[in-house]
Amino acid sequence: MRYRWNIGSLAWITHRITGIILTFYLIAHIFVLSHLKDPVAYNKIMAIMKNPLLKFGELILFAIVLMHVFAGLRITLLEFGISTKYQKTMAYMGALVVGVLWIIGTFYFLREVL
Amino acid sequence: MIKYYTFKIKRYLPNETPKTRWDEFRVKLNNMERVLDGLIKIKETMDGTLTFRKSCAHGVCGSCAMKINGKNRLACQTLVKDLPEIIEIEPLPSLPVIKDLVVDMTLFFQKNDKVLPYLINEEPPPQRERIQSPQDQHKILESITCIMCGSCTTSCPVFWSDKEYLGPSALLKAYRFLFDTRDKATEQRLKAITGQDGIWRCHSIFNCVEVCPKEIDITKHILKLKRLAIKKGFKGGQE
Repeated sequence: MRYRWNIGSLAWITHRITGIILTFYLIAHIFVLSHLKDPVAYNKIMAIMKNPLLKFGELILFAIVLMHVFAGLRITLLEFGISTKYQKTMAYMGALVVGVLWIIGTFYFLREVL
Repeated sequence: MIKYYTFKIKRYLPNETPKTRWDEFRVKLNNMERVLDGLIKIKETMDGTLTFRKSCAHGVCGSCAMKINGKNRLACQTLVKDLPEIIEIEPLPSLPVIKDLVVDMTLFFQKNDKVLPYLINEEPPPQRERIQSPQDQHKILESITCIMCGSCTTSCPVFWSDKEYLGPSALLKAYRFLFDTRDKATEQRLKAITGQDGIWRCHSIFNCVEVCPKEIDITKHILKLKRLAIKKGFKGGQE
C-alpha cells in the first residue's frame, strides 16, 4: 500500500529503524568487548577495526546514533508539553542539527584517520 | 477555467474476476469543482456501477472520505484545481472494502463505542440543563468539531498494523468527555483508554493531523490525555 509521507511519519520511521539497528549494534558491540580479555586479543581485534570498511561503518553508525537521539528528543519534548504546532519545525531543525553535527564529526574523524 | 482530468479509480467488484482493477475516466471540470463533482459526473454519464458514499457534499457529514492521491481526504472538500491532472482515488486504507470506494466502517465505530461516548454524571440533574461556562466549553471546542469521517484512524500506521488499537478518532472522543467539566466518570474513562490498545500506542506520527478535514490537532489531544493519565496514576500495560 502506498501512502504519502510527511515529515512526522518520516521522523517516526527514522526513529524506529535506527532504534532497531542500534539494538543489533549494541549486541555486536558487547560481543566484541567480551573478547578483549588480554593485550594480545586486544591488539588483534583493534587491527581488524582498522579496516577502512569498518571505519566507514563507524561514520554510518555515528549518523544513525545522531538521528536516533534527535528523533527521540523531539518526541520527548512533545510528550513533556512543547506545543505540537512546533513539531514540523522541530523535525526539520533536528534533521539540520544532525546533518551539521555529522559533518563536523566526520571532519575530525577523517583528520584522525588520514 | 475548464480542464480535463483523468480519474484513476481503484475498483473492487466482489462478483467479478478479477475483483480488483483500476479504471480510468476523462472528466471535464472547471476550477471551482471538487473531486466529488467528478465522481458524480462519472457515475451519471459514464459508469453507473461506480459506488461511493456521499451525503451532504459540504464537509459536514464525513461520508465521502477516501484516499485521493495517496492521502485521506473528503472528496467534497478537495478542489480539483489543487490536484495534478491525474487523480488517483482509492478507498480508505486498512478497512475491509464492500464495493469500489465504500468501506465497512463497523470496526471504526466499535472503537468509538469502547471509549463510552456519552455523558456520565450520577448527580441529579438541575431544573434545566447542566450549565457549562464558555471557558469550559472552549477547552473541548476543537475536539467537538470532529465529524467522524474515519480519515484519521485509517491514516494511522499503528492502526494499519494493529486493528485492536483504538485509533485517533476514538481517543479524540475520549478527550471530548474527559475534559468536559460536566462529566464525572474520569476514572472509568481513563481505565478504558489506558489498556494495551489505548493511548500508549500512539507514537506521535502526526498522520492523523495531516489528514483531518476539520484541521483538528489530534496528536495534541492524545498527548494531553497521556499527561492526564500519568497524573491520575494510570500507567497502562495491563487491563
